[in-house]
Amino acid sequence: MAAEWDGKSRGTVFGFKVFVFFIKNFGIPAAYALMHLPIPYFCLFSRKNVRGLYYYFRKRKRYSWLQSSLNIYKGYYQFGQTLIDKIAIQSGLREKYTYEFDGIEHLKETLALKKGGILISAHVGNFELAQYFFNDLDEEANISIVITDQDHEHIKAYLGSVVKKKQDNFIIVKDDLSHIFEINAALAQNKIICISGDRYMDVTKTMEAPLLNKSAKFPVGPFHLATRLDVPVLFVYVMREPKRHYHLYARKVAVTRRDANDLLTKYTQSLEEILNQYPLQWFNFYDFWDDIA
Amino acid sequence: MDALKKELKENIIEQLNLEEFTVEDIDNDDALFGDGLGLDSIDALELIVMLDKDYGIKLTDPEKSKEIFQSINVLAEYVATHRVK
Repeated sequence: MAAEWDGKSRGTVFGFKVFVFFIKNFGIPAAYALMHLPIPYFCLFSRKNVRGLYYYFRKRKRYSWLQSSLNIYKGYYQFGQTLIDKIAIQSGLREKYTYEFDGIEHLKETLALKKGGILISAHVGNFELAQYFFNDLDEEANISIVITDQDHEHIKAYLGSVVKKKQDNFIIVKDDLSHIFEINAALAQNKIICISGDRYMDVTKTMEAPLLNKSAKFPVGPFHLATRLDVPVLFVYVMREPKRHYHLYARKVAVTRRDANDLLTKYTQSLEEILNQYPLQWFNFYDFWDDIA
Repeated sequence: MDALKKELKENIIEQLNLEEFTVEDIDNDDALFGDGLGLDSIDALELIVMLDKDYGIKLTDPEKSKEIFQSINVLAEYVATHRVK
């Protein structure tokens, strides 16, 4: 089985429409409850994803068979909640949520340097929400998110019609290198680039490092970018906690110029710490370690 | 123009840390990306930053840049006519 992500995120525009309708008319808790409908479907018919998730809980986190199976459902449910939160916050329901920011001083220091900055995140928690919380803190904290997911573009095109704020802050990775210019322009304007360090597609060059005691492949791009541009680098996670509360983490990273491997090692260590605290919020639902027969 | 070509090669080698290359190894007609020097997209970003810093040239059009980064010959020609420092 190919380990790389197939470039498609599940969930259709129709699905999103249903949830937007529910959130707007019946409230966020009702939308959470509605999540229990598609999850059994995913558990039954999305075998590849379920196997990927089961492997993560059973082999990497070393949970029992029963615990791992239960956690697949719980993990899907938390993922569903983060999707609803994303829609709700983007639709203007920001005041329904609370958050705390652990390491805010690092972000402020970064902005004060006026060199831009690179935030490396992962598909854990809800990192796309970072921009909404950061903008609350500092008007100047303008964040551009670099994404490779063509499918997401589709969903965002729809979301753009229901959310209040214009979605002009995504930089899409393309073959024509236009993203390189956008990244360059953003950094030159002291903007922050947020890029995920954990997901690759087969066209991407990869490098390897152990994560949870087993070697896995990571995209070369974010780590080369961060070690070659002389801008501050932070690891950032936006993790979901009970009662519609988000816990943001920003960790400053000491970067050795041109040593992408060193940065990757620091990244996997940091990611492991987060997964120890929030084991259910690992949202890479595929054979991440390329280890499923 | 030859001096500029040599300077560009030196800058590229230094900026991109191409330790395995010397100025003599890079032919003026070699493709910088793909089969030639084999540079990647992040190398391109570093070159864009370098052109801005060293020559005051701001590249914003991806298509145009593809043409400029074709080879040292093309790059030198462009730098010579567009440099502001």
